[in-house]
Amino acid sequence: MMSTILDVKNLSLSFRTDEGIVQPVRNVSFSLEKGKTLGIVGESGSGKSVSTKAVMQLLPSIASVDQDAQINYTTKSGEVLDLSKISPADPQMRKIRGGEIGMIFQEPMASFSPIYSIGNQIMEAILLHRQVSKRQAREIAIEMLDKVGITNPQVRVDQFPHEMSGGMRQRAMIALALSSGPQLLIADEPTTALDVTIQAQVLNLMRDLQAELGMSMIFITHDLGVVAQVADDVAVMYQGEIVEYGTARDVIKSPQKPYTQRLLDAVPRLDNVTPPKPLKGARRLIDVKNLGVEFEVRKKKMFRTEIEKVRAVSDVTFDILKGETVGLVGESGSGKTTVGRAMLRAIDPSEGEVIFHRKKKGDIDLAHASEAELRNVRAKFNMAFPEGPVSLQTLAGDMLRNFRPEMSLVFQDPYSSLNPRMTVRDIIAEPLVASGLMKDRDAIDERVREIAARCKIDLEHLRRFPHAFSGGQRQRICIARALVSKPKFVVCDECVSALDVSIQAEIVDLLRDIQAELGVSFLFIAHDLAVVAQISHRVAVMYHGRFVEYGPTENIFFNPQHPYTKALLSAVPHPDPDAVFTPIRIDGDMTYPVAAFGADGIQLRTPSPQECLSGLPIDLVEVSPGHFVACHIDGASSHSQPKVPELV
Amino acid sequence: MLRFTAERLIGMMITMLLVSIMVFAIMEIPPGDYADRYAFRKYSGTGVNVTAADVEAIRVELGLDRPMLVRYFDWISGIVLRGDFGQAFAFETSVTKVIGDKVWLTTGILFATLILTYLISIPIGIYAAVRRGSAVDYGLTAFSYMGLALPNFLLALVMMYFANLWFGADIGGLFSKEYQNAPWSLARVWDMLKHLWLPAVVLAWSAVAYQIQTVRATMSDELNKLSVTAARARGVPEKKLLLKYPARLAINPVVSTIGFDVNRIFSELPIVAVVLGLTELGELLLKAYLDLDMNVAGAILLMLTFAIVFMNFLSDLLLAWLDPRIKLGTT
Amino acid sequence: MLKYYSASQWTLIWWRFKRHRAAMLASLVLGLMALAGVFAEFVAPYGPVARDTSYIEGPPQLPRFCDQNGCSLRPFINGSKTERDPVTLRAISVPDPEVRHYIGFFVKGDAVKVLGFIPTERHLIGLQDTEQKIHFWGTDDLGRDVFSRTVYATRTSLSIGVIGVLISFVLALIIGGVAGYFSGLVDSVVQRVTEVIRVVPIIPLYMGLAAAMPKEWSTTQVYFAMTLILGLFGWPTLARRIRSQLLSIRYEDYVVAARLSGAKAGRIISQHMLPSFTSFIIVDLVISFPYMILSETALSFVGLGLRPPSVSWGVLLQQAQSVRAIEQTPWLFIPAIFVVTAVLAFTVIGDGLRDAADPYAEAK
Repeated sequence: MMSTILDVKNLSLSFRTDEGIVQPVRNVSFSLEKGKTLGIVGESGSGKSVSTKAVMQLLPSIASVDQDAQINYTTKSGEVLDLSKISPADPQMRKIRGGEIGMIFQEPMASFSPIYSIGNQIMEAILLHRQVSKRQAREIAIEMLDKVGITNPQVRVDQFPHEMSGGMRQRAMIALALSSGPQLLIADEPTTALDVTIQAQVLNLMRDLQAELGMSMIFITHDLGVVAQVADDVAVMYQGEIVEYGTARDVIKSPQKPYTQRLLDAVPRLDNVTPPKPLKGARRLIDVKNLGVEFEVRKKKMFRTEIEKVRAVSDVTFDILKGETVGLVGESGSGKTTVGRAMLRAIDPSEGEVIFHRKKKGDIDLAHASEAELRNVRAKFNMAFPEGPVSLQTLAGDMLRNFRPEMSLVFQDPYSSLNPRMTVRDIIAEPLVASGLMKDRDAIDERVREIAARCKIDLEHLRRFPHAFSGGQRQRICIARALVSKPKFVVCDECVSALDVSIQAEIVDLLRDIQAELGVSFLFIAHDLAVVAQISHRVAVMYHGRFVEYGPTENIFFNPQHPYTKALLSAVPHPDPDAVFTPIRIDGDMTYPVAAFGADGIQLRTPSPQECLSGLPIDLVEVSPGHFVACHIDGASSHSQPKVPELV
Repeated sequence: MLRFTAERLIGMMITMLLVSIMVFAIMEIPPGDYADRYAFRKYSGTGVNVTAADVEAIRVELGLDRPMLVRYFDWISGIVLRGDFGQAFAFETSVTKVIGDKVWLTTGILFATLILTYLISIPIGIYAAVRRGSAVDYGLTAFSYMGLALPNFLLALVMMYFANLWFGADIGGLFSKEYQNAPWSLARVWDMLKHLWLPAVVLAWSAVAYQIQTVRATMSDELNKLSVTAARARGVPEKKLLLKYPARLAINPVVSTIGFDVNRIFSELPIVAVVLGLTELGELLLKAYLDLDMNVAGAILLMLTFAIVFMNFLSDLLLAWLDPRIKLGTT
Repeated sequence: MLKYYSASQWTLIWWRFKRHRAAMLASLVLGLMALAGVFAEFVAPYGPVARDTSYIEGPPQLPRFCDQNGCSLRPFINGSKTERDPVTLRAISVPDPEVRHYIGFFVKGDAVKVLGFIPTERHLIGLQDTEQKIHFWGTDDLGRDVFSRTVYATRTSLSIGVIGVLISFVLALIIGGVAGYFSGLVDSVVQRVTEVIRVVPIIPLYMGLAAAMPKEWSTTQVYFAMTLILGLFGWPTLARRIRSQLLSIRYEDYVVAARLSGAKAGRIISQHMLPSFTSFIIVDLVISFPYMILSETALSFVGLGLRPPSVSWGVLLQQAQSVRAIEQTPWLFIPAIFVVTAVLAFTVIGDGLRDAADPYAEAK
């Protein structure tokens, strides 16, 4: 017995803006059956979020719903209402909001008011829609918090949003939305701001609760993997219109429309990826040895500032070969960005070495070089640049030698990393000018044009300012700037995370092409495992400031050894409706495996609960050639020498 | 909370100490010292020829020959330990006597002004933000421009003029003639309250203009917050929603700037007091400056500043109580 | 659109500022005021202390085109004659409708030196009959022309504002810059001192310093002392803003990017930090003018600032301290209109600039 709960017909929205009337949504129709989930997928600006806001009448004041639109909603009592015709001030609408339709948002922090406790806000929803006393409402709130998997709900209920972690806040938000007993839940990118392991937990939670409560759900997301896991039906939106609409299986397995096909092609898939093979015979470019970074956190006290040291990175050891891409993955706060910045000396490492091998002039220890030496390295690295068809012949003598700041960084946010007050030409030329590498304007222009062309930036655009460009175009400018001085080593710090999938794919292709042409080495930092798998020759997994696993990409992704890596990989939702999604959950502190060295090689085992390992050192153990896993070393088998990475 | 209070309390003490040093420095700036002025005042016009030795004798008698540091400690310890602000030269009595009950009059004016300011600015600021872009909103913006631009003494004059026109001549000052020097009584208090509204309105004028802008700006920001949308999405009625979420937060910046408001009011007080003929600290301060009676001036400046520092302290506590993020140190 | 794409920061700011009509109008008004002040000798028909004993406490004389004897294309005023008030028997001047004095531009008058070095006898406006005088805005109790005095006062008051703001700006830049750059202990000390100065009510503080000026100082000395006092204590708010701006810009990605490009500190500051920072500083400068002007006016008003024979808006308003003045010589309040207009203009321009100062805010 299926019955339609929501039927949207010909929904068009108009926004009055300074530039005139804009229609972010045109002729959108979809319907939802009881107990089912509709996924709405689209890239940023596709109108997926506003169209559901129209259902709830939560549009900004500049918006209006066009006349011939219908939003037919069947209430719990079976009445059919056209929500587009009800005024937001109507008491009927108040009953629908929360009572009939619940909503959760992308930013769990911002969706709670900071000045009231979580419980206060949940109870508010309960008291509005259920005939219960305050005391009962509090009990329901605690019960709901328990249900969404928040431990110790009696205490948590009185806590403020800022006292909780991101994942917990989103759970609390779900508890809030469900506590007033809606029959439809609209979830607007509910897991986008969360780490992948937390996302997996929240997705599972939502799925379970939906089944338990028989609820319908509209799930808005840009992530095709997520939609494949949760949705029964899928609507693909593009520029304000639904371009394809059907069951999740049909849409994802056999897309009919070119846009959907393009979108699906662009999505990096961990279940269907051929990572680049490890490089053979390349010379070693950078050696990182026992890198550690401590941050000083200043706590203002009355008379003095107390300085607390926080370890962001400890004991990181790895190397990068010439022309190689090393992926660095991990969740937020794992220290991956810190590793990248410490290698570039954007922050000073507190211990360890970063050695940059030079063919002719000898090695330099970046970790201990003085500011002047560093500038020298960045500016006047005078060594040959053997690979790639770089038009070095156009330059001569000193100019050629002074031409090589050796390393650079591509930032995550293409908006904040470009100085809005400089032209694109000046931005790209900055590394040449700032370091004093080149003085001749014409030569600089030529170089800028060359790199711009390589990064597929329209030469016409060089005279423009960054405000003229979209995120993807800006990221190309960032890459051009990073490459203009012909560096040997570039850190890409989440450089595709802020971009839509299709643009993400273009940037990844661009980076690969450039590497093939110029032989530059990348440290590719990202939280998106699939992107990393596409581009990296080797991958390191970070957790709490440490490498937990490091090795050839294939080994890491298809034969993970460390429990954290396994959990991380299991949490990635694949864009395949048939894939089994059983994320491994890590509760509390993660335990490292124990490595025992026997005659037949190295054995990893899970420590028994009795073993107290917290004080023992953690070492990277080579389980197969080039594949290292962070383990405790079993003392009993120490007659055989543990194999830790050799770096000579 | 206890720890937070203690921290702020010590911070307040340090500020007060530094302020007292600064005030003392200002008292020392005028050329010559009290001995010169004292001698001049005492003997000028009497035909007595004052020699340098005479002045020196006076200087020794008053203890002004001692080093500055000693005099500072003398001065501040007198204030802290005995409530003694020294001698008022122009009036030939102690500063404490000269100031007398003017402290309470000033306090009365201050609180009348503050209450008036917040009663007007908070609701109007909230209203203007909710009705953004309406005629009322534009009108208020225009008004607040005037509030910032009109010098207070001019406003005081204009108000006096119209008050005279409408309510008769006896409107300036703090008391009617018959109560001017009368001992305190209920009738005198009532008489004062009748006169208090005029200075309160004049002094509140710019504070209101300023705070309306603050409340309106915060309220506008808060209205666009996701938490407000989220509350709307769970069916909270619009009026309750506005009051519980954005309006409640829009009060915070007002609370945090109470000290500034007190500062602004005290800053305007001397001039407004002169125009309106108020017999309180501000007027006395101006008189003392004109007479170069620096003991009186210093005492008043110190009192006013201490009051501001204390109000800052109170506003910190109030804010911490209003906003759970502050005492947890996670702003 | 192409024009927009290749427009620099200042062009964008200018485009946005132009859209702010009130601010454009305010700029025009302020510009005229500044011009009048700079060329006061030429604009004012008479000197600031010149007395017309035949027209004491006289009301404004408005130019007219018609009187009972008919109309004229050239504006004129009627002459005046002295009569006795029938009640008080005091000598008062009443208009004499039989006499016309025509108004002219670039008329001859007292020899003056514009800007102190360009000698001229011509004045922008006045009566063609050099023997007669016109008082557009009336005269004060000594028979001094309010219009001329206001023009000269505009110069004094605006220039005190400008110099005061400049002094406090330089101080703020140094102090805020040091605090923002060094951070740590230096920052804490600077912050504490700033807080102490901010907490003292500013007008009473100014008064204390102004009261200390020796009575025998010349008007020039007093003038410079006043600008110094206003400047020396006007910096804390500005310094705080500069410090926090510096701190926030320091960690912007594009500044980090410049550092990683190998740029030296000087280049980072001049090429990357200052350009994004100047527009905000200009806004702060503009909105700190009103405080300077109002403070000067207030101090002079109560007799602690500039003293006669200097003329500033505050000095002129000293004569209008009582309700009696509103009733009997309301034209003495005309300088107040200037104060209000100037303060309003600065505030409106400040608002316009603030909206325009970050042209990239909405582009994001």
